[in-house]
Amino acid sequence: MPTAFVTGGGGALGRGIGRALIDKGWQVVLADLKPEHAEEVAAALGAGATPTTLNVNEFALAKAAIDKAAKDFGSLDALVNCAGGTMALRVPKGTLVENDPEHWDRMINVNLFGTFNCAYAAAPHMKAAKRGGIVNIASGAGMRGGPPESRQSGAAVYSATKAGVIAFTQALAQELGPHGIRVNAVAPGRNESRAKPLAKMIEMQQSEEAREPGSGRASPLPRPFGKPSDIGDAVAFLLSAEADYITGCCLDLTGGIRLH
Amino acid sequence: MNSVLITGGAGRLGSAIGKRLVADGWRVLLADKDGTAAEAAAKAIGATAITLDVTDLAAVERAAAQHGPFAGLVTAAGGRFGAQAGPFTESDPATWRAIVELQLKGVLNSCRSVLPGMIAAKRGGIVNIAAIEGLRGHPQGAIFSACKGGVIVLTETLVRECRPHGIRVNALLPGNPDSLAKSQAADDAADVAEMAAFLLSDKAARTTGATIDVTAGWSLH
Repeated sequence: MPTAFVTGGGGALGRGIGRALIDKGWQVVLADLKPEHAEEVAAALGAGATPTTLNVNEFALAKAAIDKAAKDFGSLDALVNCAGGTMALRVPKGTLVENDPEHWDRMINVNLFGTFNCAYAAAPHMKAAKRGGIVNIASGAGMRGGPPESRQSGAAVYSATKAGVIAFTQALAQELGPHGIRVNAVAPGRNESRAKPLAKMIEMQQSEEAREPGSGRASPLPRPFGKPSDIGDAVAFLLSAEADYITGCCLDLTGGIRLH
Repeated sequence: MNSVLITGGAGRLGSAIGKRLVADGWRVLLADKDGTAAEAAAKAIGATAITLDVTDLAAVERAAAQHGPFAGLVTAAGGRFGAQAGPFTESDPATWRAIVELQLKGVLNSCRSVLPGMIAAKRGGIVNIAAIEGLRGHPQGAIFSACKGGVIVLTETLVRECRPHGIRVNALLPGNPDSLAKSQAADDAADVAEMAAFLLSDKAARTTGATIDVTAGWSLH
């Protein structure tokens, strides 16, 4: 049974990713800064899910956790860098000029250094096996700048870090390709989560639209917002044999939000 | 007379951009962590110089307060630092931070420090020197690529934040040693400077959020 290490595994996206991977026969290690979140998601996912605690900002901790997962399960076949998805939520709303520079570091540390740390720690296991897959969770914001002013929270730096994740993915795909390791990214848009169920998302979008017409972005599809399972399905696909010739891509999972 | 702050002002691109902007009638301030080199470059083109480390936000804010307000900002500091660092998985993790501090946070610090003056004046132009690696990550410089990708999308986000204030923000992708070799050009600094001058001029009044490739089509190979 192949093993995937999922950072941010205790969050809504981590849960969606864990579910999709387990359904496809993966063993999943859910790593989260908050042990109770990782444990809750692991319990909900049942067999095949193992929780662990990890602060991805710390290289030594990331290396130790990933080495342990590889040892415990006999291999480390995939890494999903999903930590930091909710970082923007904990950064107060504001522009680059208004934001506290301390918040910049918080986003840079999790979104960039967290991704660097875990990729660096996972690569030797995959190189030794001559196979492996890495999926970095970027963001629609990283593909076309941050959201309009009405709903930004540290958008300038958040989107810059996510764009960084995409360029890093492209660089790493070229470096690790010869070792049989594929590296891809996905770019979620606006998704339902535990804190923001569909009704809340619709309410937010309508109030944005009322405040500033055109700013309340939603998918042109009948379903206006994404679900964690959308992200999970895409990640599971990118890590599957069906995606054997896909590397260095950033798959747009915004439901077309970026089209307008 | 409009003032423009050029970070990395003693560098190859920074000094060329400074020279071109002086010709356009800008009052040019070349800021560089090598103050002696900045002085020499400034003297040669009729500009002024300051010593400035863009990784130090407080220092950049002090410089902006002391020498601003600026109608223009060109973020040319950083050069190609980190672009040829070598394979990521063979790198020393202790080397990553310095690249991010200079290539990404240096731009954040510069924009943040100069923008309040532009917002107050209800006008301004920013040109961020990014790199083609930001659009297409390069395996010899994964961290550099990540930073430059960040600068490109930061530029786009700043457009949204700054549009109501009459401020335009654009990014330039200068060449790299590979693209220069391919186009058989010895130096592209004058070409990059020409484009920067255009973007800071009123001729570009409707150009904002653009990422302009000055690599002679290298990215299409």
